[in-house]
Amino acid sequence: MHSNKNNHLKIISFGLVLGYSTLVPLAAEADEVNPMGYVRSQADKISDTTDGRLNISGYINGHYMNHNGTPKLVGKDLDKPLFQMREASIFADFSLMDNLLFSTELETSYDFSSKSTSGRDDRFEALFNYYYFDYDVASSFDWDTDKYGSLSVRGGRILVPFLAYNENKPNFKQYLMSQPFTAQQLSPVNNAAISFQQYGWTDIGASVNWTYAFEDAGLFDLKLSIINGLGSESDALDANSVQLSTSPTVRPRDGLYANKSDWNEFRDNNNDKAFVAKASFSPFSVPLDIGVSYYNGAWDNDENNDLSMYGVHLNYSRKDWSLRGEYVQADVEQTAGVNPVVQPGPASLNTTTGDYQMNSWYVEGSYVPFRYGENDNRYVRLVARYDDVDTNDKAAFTPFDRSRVTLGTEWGFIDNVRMRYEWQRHNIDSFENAPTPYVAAGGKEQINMQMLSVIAYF
Amino acid sequence: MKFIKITFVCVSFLLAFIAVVPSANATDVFLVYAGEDKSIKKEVEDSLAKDFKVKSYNVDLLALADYSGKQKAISKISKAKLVVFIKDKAAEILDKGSFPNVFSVTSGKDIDNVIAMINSKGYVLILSDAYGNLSAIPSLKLKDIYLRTEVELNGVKVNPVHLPEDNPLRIAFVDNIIGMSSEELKQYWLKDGSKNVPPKSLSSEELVIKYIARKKGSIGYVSRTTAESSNLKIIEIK
Repeated sequence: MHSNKNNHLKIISFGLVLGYSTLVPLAAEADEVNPMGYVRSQADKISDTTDGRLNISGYINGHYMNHNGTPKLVGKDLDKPLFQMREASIFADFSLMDNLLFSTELETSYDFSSKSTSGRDDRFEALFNYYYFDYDVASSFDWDTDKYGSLSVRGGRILVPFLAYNENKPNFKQYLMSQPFTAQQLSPVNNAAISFQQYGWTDIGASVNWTYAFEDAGLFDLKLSIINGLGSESDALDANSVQLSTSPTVRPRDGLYANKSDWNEFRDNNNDKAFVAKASFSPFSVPLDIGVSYYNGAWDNDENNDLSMYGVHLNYSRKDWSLRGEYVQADVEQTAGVNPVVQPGPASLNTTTGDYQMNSWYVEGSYVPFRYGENDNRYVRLVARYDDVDTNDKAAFTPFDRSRVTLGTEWGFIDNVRMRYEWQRHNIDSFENAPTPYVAAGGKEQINMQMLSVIAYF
Repeated sequence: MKFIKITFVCVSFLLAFIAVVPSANATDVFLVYAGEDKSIKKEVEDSLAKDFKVKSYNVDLLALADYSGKQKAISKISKAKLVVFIKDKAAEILDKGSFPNVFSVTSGKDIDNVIAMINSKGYVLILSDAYGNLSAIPSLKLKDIYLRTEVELNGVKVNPVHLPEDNPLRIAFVDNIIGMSSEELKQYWLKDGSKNVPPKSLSSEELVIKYIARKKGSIGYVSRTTAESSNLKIIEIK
């Protein structure tokens, strides 16, 4: 696919020209130039035509990203600039019956970079990130929800309710384009930390959601789910391998994977189902959401080894400032010494450690120093985040034992369109233990990243 | 290619389902409230439950919902014949503009107005013959007409009329279209520095019908029930 680079660029250029030549004049007829307002009005028309039974919304974002300090891999240079339409998503909710809703998200992405930069086989990817039915049990049976709370059941490919980020992954719901380590390496929101693919953590399963409003105090929300779960067909959970440009093959220990998680795969590598629970509380008097999450399931083919995760989250959001944070710990059962990577490489990197623990946390704060425009709807937001991750506490060295500072700014310059700039500095811990081939391939103790992105939603 | 085929088949099936299976539309009123306003919601709910099918939605749930939770809530609520927002906080969290037929209440005393709104099937816009085949007016333009910052509609000098201040249709119209409470609208005209005069208020829907039929360029709102029994043209508010 990458060999047809010029053809793709022509198609994209044509698409952009066509899109702009259609959207902008139409939008200009409105009270102000607002392309997303025009798209929103078309979505509203669909809703009106179907008597409110089909509701559509969505978003698109693109980014230019540049790292400095990552090791060169065979077939992939992570330090080269990466230019992607990272996500273009459409959410559709079909109201099938009075208390039955079908929901799906069609997510696509397009990679403008060379394959040697992104490592992606296909420039264009599309999938159904989730697709599920929601049945409102409480409404169906006319429960007194004040007395018993509301209850709904969800089944299909569901968004896994674990921590807060995964259920709020779209960038327009966040203030930074980059994801926190908790999501990137552990939760896991994406399938691989080194592949820059951003699909959410979804899985085939079912979930029960009970919500109860305590008099004058707040809302308690409980989600209990059974899903296929995370896993690996290998004897080791952290069996993913890459080849450094200096030739040895190593384990990057880059975090948890959703095994067999493609949108059209319905079973994973074993018959054991994972159990996920999330309990949250939101007081009426304070714009706060705090909660705890739990995950447990066997990850291996023989169902002998468990993965257990414990998480805590907090979100405090005012109009002009916010504070967010998550902590997650994963306990992995694993046999020591098995399944070393076949190709030669440093033993310290490639030997399985036995039982180990992963953990990650982040704190993120944002503040809007000034607003302008009609109704103060234009603004500049300043954002800072600190996060930390260790994907294997027993390993002598892993490049994903690191901390990171992110500073960003978000400019809301048109209704529903935001531009962001982010700067990051990663510090890899215990770098004195880094094997020689890692350093020889260009791996540095500090990695810097800059990113410019645009997000539009309707 | 397989992905596109599956997408096409699934979407076609769902659209066909929506087209063939009618919406139950069994709910008369959906009460949208914030947790802190639960007592008012309870009062309104208890008063309405004897005669109408009432459901309620706590907007604080959105803080705990996933990223399409707001859209799901709108899908669920918008099928009701009337959506009633309890006090301001609920409307701040869930946009009132997303619903076609909305009414706001601030206390349990507004129940009679809610009942009047349900029985009238909401307000619709009617206008004199002078506007020819005009079929729709954007809500922002309508707001400007009622605030007298827009004096013409389709090349005709426009003359808007209101119902009395305590009429539930007027309360809903001023809230939804002008975006003010009755008191705020009163203050607006007191503070207005221009020589504009507020639109005339007529004492009943019947008088509004008669006035519009007679007076060129006039425009007003009445209940759907009243409008459908007149010969005047009903137009859509976009």
